[in-house]
Amino acid sequence: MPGTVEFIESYFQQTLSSEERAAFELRCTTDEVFAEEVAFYIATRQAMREELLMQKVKAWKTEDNDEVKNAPVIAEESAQVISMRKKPGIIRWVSYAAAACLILIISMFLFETRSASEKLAANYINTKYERLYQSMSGGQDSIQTGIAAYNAKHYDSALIYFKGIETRNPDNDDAKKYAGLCYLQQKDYDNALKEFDALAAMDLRINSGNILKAVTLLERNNPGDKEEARKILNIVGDEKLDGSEEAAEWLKKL
Amino acid sequence: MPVADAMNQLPDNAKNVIEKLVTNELKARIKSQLEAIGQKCKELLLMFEDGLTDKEIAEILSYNNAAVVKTTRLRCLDKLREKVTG
Repeated sequence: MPGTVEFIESYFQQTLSSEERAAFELRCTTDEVFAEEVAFYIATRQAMREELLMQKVKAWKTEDNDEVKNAPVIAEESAQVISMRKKPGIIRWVSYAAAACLILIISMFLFETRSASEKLAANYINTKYERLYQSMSGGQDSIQTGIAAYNAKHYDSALIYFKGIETRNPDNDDAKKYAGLCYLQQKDYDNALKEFDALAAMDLRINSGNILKAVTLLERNNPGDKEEARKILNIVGDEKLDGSEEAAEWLKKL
Repeated sequence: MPVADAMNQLPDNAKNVIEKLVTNELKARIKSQLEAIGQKCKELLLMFEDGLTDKEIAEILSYNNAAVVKTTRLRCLDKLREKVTG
């Protein structure tokens, strides 16, 4: 029935007059076909609601799993085990201790050098982009809705908004940057790099595309990534691009 | 208005009629046809249900104005109904 859906929506949006509302309510009980149309409208909205909740739960569970993985390990006290075997001599204990110390020192050295670049990148993201600036001015535009989702760590939902803007308005640099940050927070480095590449190629007065590319490469830390990041950081420093101070500092540490 | 509150707008006699028709089977059939109506339609319906106004959706998806979004969204609902009822 043409116009029926609009009529049904107007009822639930409370834009009908009182006479129209009364007519609507009467039709629900007297017109079977109309009642089915109303039921379809309600069922569709309920189905969409369930679909949305499913997406959000999935996003939250991913966030929860990350929190569990990153949670500090708390050692539990255990009962003392008393060995019934003959205790080894002092010399054997000393050699065990020496070997353990050596292994510990080598592990610490390897751990430190291997993850120094990852630590730099993670620290930069955590301090500068843990939350995005949310405008408190009146009106809730699309970017602000996405930012609110990002700040609540609902990166899946935030991406829907930012990618939507980006698709319809490819010149929107904020949408590219924020979409890249969402991917980065989700550890989807390949897609993050695509966004920051596109951002870096834009002609902007202040362009953070290159520094964010470097950060992504340092976090991903695949073979060759650190060297690629160094090249980009050199460019950022030489051309005084956004992030040049950080670039100069990091190049000393990498 | 959230869909949970929408049903409560109906007087009891109308609500009873409609509730009996909103079955889990109907909702399952609707969900099964969501991909068939196309990504654009699905996106519109999800964003509307997420509480965005037609004006906000127009800004996000770069439609000309809210009226265009509303018309498109209602057409998507018609399209979904055609797919579900066959």
